[in-house]
Amino acid sequence: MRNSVWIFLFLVLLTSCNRSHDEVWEDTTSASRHVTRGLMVLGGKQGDSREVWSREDFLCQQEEDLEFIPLNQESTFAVNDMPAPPPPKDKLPANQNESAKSLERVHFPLDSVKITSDNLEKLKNVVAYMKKNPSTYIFLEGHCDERGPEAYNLALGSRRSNTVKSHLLKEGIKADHVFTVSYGKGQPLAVGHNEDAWEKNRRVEFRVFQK
Amino acid sequence: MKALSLNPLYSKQTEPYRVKLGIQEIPKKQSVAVRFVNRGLDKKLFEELQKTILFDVNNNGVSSVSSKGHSSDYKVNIFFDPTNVKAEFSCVKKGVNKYVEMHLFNHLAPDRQSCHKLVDSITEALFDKKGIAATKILFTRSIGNSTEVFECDYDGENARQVTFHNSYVVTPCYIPNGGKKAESFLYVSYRSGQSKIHRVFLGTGKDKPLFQLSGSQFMPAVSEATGRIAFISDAASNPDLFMQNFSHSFGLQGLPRQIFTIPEKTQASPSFSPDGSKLAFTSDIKGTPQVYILQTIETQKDPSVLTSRHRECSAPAWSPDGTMIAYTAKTEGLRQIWVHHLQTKEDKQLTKGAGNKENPSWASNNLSLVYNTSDYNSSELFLVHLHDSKIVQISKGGGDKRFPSWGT
Repeated sequence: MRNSVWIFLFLVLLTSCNRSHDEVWEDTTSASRHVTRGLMVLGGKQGDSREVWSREDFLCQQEEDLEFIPLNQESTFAVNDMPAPPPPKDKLPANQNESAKSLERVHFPLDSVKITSDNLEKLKNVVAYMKKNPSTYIFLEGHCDERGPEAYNLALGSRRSNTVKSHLLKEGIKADHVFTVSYGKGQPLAVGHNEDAWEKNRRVEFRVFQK
Repeated sequence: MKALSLNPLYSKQTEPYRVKLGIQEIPKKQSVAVRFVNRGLDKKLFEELQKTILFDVNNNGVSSVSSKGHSSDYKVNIFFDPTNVKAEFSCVKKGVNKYVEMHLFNHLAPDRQSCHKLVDSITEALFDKKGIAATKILFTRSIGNSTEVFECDYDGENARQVTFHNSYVVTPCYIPNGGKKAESFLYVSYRSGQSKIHRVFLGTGKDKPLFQLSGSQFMPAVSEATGRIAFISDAASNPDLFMQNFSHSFGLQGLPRQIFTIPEKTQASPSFSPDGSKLAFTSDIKGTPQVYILQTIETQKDPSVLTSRHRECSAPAWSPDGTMIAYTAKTEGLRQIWVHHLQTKEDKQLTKGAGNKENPSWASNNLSLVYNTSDYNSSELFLVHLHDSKIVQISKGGGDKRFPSWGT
C-alpha cells in the first residue's frame, strides 16, 4: 500500500514537467495529504488522539472545527508552520436553480447600513417566504451608489448585505441558507446621476434559489 | 531652483539639480538626446519601435527625450538592423560609455519587449535606477456584462486576457517572486455566486480558489517579506481585516486570523509595508473612509490615522521602498491621487483636473504610479510620475478598466 502511494506521487511528478515549480509542489503536497488522510480513515484513525481530563475537554470545540482565528484569541496550536487544514465542506449549494420568485429589494440611506422601518415589512415577507419554503436558499446582494470610492464600496455593500442577513437570522432563518455578496457600485439599478438614482442604487437585492 | 553641491567632486554646474517637490528631494528628470538609425529594418516596424523607445525614455521616471538634438549631457544612438537593435549611450561627465544589444524577431510584439529591455539597461547604466519598461500591469476590463482580468505591458500594449470566468472579477494583485517576473497572481471572482479570492498561474492558466473560508472575500494583498496574505472577509458577518500565512511555494499555512474589526464599521483595501510589519487600510471608524496604519506583528495596538488633511481618503498603496503611501482623496469634490511621505508627514497632490481618479499602484522604481479614472462614461488607466505629475493614458480599446496592479 505504501509503495503504491510512492508510485502515485512519482506519476504526479512525471506528468507535471511542463508546469512551474510552485504548481508541481502545491499539487504534490495536497495530493499526499489527501492520500494520507484517506489511508488513516481506512485504518480507523479519524484524527489525532488526545487525553481528556474533564467533560469540558471532551465537549470543547477543536481547533480543526474553526474556520478562522477570531480577533484576540490566540491559537493553542503552533499553526504557523502547519499546512492549511483540508477545506471544509463547501457551503454553497451545488445545484443553484434560481427561482422566479421575486422579493422586494430594500434600500438604504446615504452612508448607512441601518434597516429603516420601511424595510422591516419587506423583510417580514422574506422571512415568511423562506419559512414557508424551507428548501430555499437566498443570496443577499449588497449595492452602493456611484459616489463612493470603488474599493471601499465593495466592502460597504458587504456590510449592507450582512446587516440584512443578521436580521434574517434573528428571525429564525438558518445561516446555511443565507449567502452574502457585494457588487459595490459596479451594478447600478438606475443609471442617472441624481438623488433619485442614487437612492435606488443603495440597496440589497434578493436572489432566491431552490435546491 | 537652486543647485545643491552634495558631492565635492562635482561642480555646481554639473551637479544634477535636486528639486524639493513637497515630499522629498528626488532627482529632476534628465534630458537625453536620442538618435535613431535604420540599417535595413522594415520601415513600419522601425517607426513603431522608435515610438516604443521614445515612450520608454519619457516614462522611466528619471529622463525625458531632449528637444534640442544632441546638446544634452546624455546621448543615446540606436541602430536597427534586420535582426538586432543596438544602443550606444554615453555621459561624458559621469564617465559612462557603453552599448547594449537585443535580438529582433521582425514581429512587433516581441520586438517591443526587446526595446523595453534595451531602455531598461540604458536607464540602469546611465541613472543607476531600476528600469520599468519591461514590467507588466494587471487590471480588470469589462466585456459586455462580465469583467475579466487582463495583463498588459506598462505602456498599455500587448494586453491579453488572463482569466476566463465569464463572470464578474475585481482587485487583481501579483504575488511577488523575489524581484523576478511574477509567476502567479490573485484576484476576486464572483463565479460561484459569492466573491472568492483565486490564484492563477500565468504560465499554465491554472485557476483555483485560494481559501475555503465562508462568506465573501475581497482585496488581497501579499507580503513577500513576512509570507502573509491580507484580505477583507465577511466570514465574521462584517467586512473585516484578515491575514493568513502564505508561502509562494507551499501555499496557505495554518488558519486565517481576523486582525481588525469594529462592529458595524467597514474595512477595505489592505496594503503591506515592504517589510510586512504594518498594514495600511481603509476604514470608516469615524464615519467617513480614512486610511489607517496597523501593526501586523502580535501586539494589538489601535490603528493610527495616516493623515487628517482630507475628509475622505481610501485605496492606500505602500511604495516599494517603504517611504510613501499613495492614496485617493476627495479634493474639491473629485477624487485625486495623493502621496503621503511617512517621515516628513507631507502630502502632495499628484493629479488634478476633471474626473475621479482611484486605485493607485506603484511601479518598482518608487517614482511612478498607475491608477484608473472612475467616471460614469469612462474608466481608463493612466501613468503619473512623482516629479512632474504629467499623466499619460495607457489603456486602449473599449470596456471599463479598473483596479490596476503594477508588477515587476
